[in-house]
Amino acid sequence: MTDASTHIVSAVIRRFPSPFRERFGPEMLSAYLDQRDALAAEGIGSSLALWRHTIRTVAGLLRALVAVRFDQRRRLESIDPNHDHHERALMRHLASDARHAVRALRGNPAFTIVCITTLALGIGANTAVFNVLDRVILAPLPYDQPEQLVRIYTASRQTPDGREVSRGIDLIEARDGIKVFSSVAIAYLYREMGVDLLGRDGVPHRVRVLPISADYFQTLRATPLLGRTFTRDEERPGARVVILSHELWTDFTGGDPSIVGRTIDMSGERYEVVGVMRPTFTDVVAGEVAAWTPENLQPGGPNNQWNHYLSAVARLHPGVSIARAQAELNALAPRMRERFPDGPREEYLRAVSLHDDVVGETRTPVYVLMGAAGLVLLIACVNVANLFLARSVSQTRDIVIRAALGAHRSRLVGLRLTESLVVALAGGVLGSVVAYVGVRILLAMSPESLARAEEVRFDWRLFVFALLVTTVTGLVFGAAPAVRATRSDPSDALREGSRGNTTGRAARHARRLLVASQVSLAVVLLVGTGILIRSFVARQRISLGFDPVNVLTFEVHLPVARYGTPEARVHVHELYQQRLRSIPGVTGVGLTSWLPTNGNYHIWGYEYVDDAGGRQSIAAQVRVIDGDYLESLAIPVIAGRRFAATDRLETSDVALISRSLAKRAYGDHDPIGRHFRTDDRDFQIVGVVGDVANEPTGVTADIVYLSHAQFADNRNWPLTYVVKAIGSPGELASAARRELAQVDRALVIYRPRTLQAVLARHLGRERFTLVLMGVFGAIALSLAAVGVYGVLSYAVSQRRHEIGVRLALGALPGQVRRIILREGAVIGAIGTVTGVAGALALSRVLQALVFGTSTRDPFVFAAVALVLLGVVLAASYLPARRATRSDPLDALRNS
Amino acid sequence: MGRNPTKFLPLAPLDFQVLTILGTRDLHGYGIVQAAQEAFPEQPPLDIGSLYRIISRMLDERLIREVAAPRDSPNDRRTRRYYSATELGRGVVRAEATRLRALLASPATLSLLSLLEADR
Repeated sequence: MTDASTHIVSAVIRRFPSPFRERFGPEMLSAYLDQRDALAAEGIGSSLALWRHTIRTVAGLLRALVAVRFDQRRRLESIDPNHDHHERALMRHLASDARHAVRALRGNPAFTIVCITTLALGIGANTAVFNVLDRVILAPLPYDQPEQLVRIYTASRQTPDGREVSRGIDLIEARDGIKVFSSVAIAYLYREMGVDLLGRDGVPHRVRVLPISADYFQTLRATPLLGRTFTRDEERPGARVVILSHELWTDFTGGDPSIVGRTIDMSGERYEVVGVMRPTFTDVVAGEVAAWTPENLQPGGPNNQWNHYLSAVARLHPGVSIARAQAELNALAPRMRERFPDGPREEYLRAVSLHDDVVGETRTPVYVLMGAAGLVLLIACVNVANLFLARSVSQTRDIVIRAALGAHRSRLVGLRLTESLVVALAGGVLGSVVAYVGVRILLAMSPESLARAEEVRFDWRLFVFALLVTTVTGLVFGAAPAVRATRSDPSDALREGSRGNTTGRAARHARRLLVASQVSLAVVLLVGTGILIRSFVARQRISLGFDPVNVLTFEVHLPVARYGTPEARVHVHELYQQRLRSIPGVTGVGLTSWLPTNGNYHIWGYEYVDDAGGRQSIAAQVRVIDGDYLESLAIPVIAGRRFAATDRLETSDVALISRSLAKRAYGDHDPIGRHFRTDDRDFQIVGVVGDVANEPTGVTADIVYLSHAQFADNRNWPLTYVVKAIGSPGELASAARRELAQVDRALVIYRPRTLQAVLARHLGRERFTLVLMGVFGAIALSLAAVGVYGVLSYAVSQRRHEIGVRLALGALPGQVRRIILREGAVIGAIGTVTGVAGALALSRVLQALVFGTSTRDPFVFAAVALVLLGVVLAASYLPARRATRSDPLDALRNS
Repeated sequence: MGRNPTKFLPLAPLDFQVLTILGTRDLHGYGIVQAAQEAFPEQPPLDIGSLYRIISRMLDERLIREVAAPRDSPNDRRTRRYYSATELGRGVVRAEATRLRALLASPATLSLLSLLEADR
């Protein structure tokens, strides 16, 4: 890159007139390089900063270049008035060519508009998609030496690809015990933790807080703007210290530089601000975080042998491979099993490259979209080539006459070149608008499911690339016929110019070929779109095991300061549930610690006695529920009962289990009345409920349901409300907020949304890919239609004489129409067949994106083939009808 | 020399910056850019193109001249020529500074400035 920028600057310097260049050229380059070195030395030598510097320098040089040339000319003219005659003549030619080109293009608006729009779509789509691709996938992580960073997951022998959260004890052991790690960042990412921050307006706002280990920022090589990061002493419960993000610092304190050392109110407790991070710090793992607090990493408490809840990123020592780190992690597992013999026996920590991990799931859809955008660009090029070819054929006579009258060949070719350039530039300008809007739309459409989307910025590189490709296409196809025409014998061309000459025939064949390839490219794109639609539909038909319709969900978290006892927490939730039930239209109100389809959460040990009397220990997920949770989501009770109002803190512990857990632990025997242990407490099973989807793909999990009214003493559970309504629950949120204020003014409704919106978020990426593929498919289809229409219209106008003769000799209009339609059908058939073959070859690419359907779905292939043939025939019909509408005499006379 | 410095007035802002800097020490191209940024942080940064155009013109007008590189200048393959203001150049920049000071100190300017302050 640095060499490229030096080349650019030297190239501009070389354009200075000779005395100035010889005197100052080397100095100017040195000054530029000195300045660049200084930037790099200051540590702001990112490639972006260097390019900005280069662009600024080049702009300054260009201004000076114009001024110096102007000075020089004025000086020379004062000596010799005829100086520079030649240069001026060239300028005059260029200006006149440009004027001529614009006039010619304006005289043929249909051609011009179609060309420019085609180019704009091709250039715009590519630039937009490439920008996303570049930032999301190709760009390195925004940290120093990102290749040293690995994400740590928990996997097991059964699920070697597992990406589960880890136990605190494993990570604490790994960060000091594994020597290939230079440091380990541990965070409680598992559940989005919010706190209520009292703003300057006195109103509490919910912000996201991430509990982290002391080495968190050090591992990511980020330093604070003010103050310090955490120490290991602070990794304990009750450490009331906080680091603010730059955004929170500016929003809530107005960028107060003396904030460090002061305290702020978070969820009713005073936290001392110890640091403020820099605005440049972005967290690609956790996303947007407003503040960081220390995570409790003391042994015991949550850091026991069962609790999986922490995430980690480790930095490897320079030169250490991931495989070596993995070997050390593998050796750690048996040591941990020895120390904690009653914990899970099959698990180990797993290291994955952080970059691969972050972009992993996004990679395939973005590559597919990139391919699709490339196809659109290809189709756009073919279309432009086609249009220019058609135009050049009809202009052959014009060119030949000019040549015969003595016009210089370079001028004639230059004229065509100028025309192509004008069209390409106009397409480029419009294309950059399309790209700019496109990037915005891409980001707006997929805020959550595209990793690192917040880093996407507009990038001009691909725009320049796409512009170059289309310009070259335009130049080649615009100018080549002009070159050939000027070489041919004028009398020859004039004689045959109107019909049937060899040049014309070759061009016609070329155009048919181009249109056929357009059709086949469109088939490829549309097949891809069709398969994605099928997959999307299949996704939506999955049985989830619950009814998400007309359910509003939101979270209510209770600050420990004011709700320190389980009684207080149970009381406030019950009070609020009652108030919610009194809202007209509400038919059920319940709570859960974790909504279905949101993945794993709280995997605990489940200890039970099997039929043979042996003690067994398996893993199951715990959900704490309350109120009408099961009824509101229509989760059926298969055996036994639900929780009752009599299941209280003081009564004996009871539980419900999911059907799959009942089957796994007890087989066909009735589990009702049996006992199991979890978290060192004994529970009696009182009911079995239906399985619900744990993953958006419909995969279920073994679940234990505990009653909040009974289990609130375990911890301050962050709970999610589910409110079932008669109609659309959208407007309920404000009523729910009003009622909550009646219960406790300082509580906040966090992330209100419908349950269907929660589900739609999982489908976001599919929908995103689908919509874009759909847009590309539609562009491809319309461009193919334009191509077919253009070629046949042109063919008809060329054959008016022949058609006139046929009609005059008694041919029926239907017969003539069929000739034209047949030509269209042949092009369409060739294009469709090759397209289907191409799509079959490429179908493997889509495999990773497709769910519950085949990438070679014959229905899709057949439908696309039919649509394409239909469109081609429709596009052929108009020219065919026009051919037979004309008066044969007229046609014969005018040809 | 005998040329009248006031004939060059008023100076363009960038000319004034370059001449002021070269009036106090001998510098090469990037050194001037750096010094200008330090001395006039409020002004838009000087770009290399404009700088050398100004240098070229001032050399022609004999406001500055090329001088030998100081002994401690970095010895690499990059071309660095050092420039210094001539007596005439110093005279011009002095005349311009005097002119500006007189302009700012005039009662009309001061009353306008105090009005603007009051508006804030």
